[in-house]
Amino acid sequence: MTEPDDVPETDAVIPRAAFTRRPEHYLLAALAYFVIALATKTLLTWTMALLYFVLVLDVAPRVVSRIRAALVSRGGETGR
Amino acid sequence: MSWAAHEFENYFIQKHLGVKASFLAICIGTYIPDSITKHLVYEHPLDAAHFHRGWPGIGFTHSLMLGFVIAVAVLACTKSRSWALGILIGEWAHVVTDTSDSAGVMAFFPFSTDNVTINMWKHTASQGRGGDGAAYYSGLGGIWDFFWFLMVIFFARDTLRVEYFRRVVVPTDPVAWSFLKRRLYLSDNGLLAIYRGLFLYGAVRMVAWFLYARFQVKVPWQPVWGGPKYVKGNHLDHGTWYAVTGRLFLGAAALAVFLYLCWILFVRRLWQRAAPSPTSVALAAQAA
Repeated sequence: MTEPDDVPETDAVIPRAAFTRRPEHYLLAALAYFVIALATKTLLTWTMALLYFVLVLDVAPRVVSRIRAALVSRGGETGR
Repeated sequence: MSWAAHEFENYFIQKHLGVKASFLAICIGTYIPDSITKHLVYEHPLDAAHFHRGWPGIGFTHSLMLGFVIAVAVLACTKSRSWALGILIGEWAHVVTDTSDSAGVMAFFPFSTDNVTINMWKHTASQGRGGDGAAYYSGLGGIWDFFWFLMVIFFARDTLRVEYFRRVVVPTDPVAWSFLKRRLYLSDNGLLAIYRGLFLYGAVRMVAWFLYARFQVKVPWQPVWGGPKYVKGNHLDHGTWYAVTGRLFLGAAALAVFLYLCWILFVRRLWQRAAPSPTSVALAAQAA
């Protein structure tokens, strides 16, 4: 049985700060998935479910933050 | 067949194997038997259960031998112990879990084509996907899923933490995770979403199918051994119980001898040639 503390920090290839999604994001994503599954009366396969979670928890927030950054920078340019 | 237990078992196995096995390999191993067969089973016009779990048919996909053959092939091709072990344990976990339904599995194929079953719930693939799901969540199948959900929550919840993912799961299998990151253009959040997504999928699937059975098709909840009673289950009849038990015993003994001979003749050499995961080397060095 391996506990995370057994593994030296030097072996962790991803820094802790790279994970920016909080547990409540996961809960909301799961809740939304549950509502979609019930509303559409279709239960996605595991591959589609993983795609959904990746889109909701990774791709969509990155796209939104890029759009927001672009709008802010455009606003800054206009302000000048 | 199990509907969500296969997802939950992966985290429990991961907790106990730690750096010895790749999580992705465990998942692939768990999905191997049904990914090849599931869509064909519901479309089978005559005898879905025999096609799914019997011989002749594709019942060999639910055998211990298939897991062994694929694991050895993976060990020979990738020289990765963590992948070979993950595939083997994942596939075997699926086979053991599927002994619980009324159709059972040909666990000792090809040395025995008799099915091992404890008949805990009914195999109802002949009812189609909806009917099968409703029946599963009306008998002890749903309870079995919930049991594994609780097992993860109470005994393996550490595996769902960020720290576990970054210090155990990824370092055990850095090549595969970085491949996913590169090829799918994911951030580290995306990798964690894949890792945790399987658990969330299992949890949502369990609740949603249970509600479907209760409020959509409105079938009775009969969580008794061998249930639910409202539907006819699929059984693969091979004769009297003592004849089947005898043949299964011989099949199990023959499989054990076969695996031992394979280990001595070539698998041991493949195992020694393969490299242990970088993290297990670091842990061994730390312990020394």
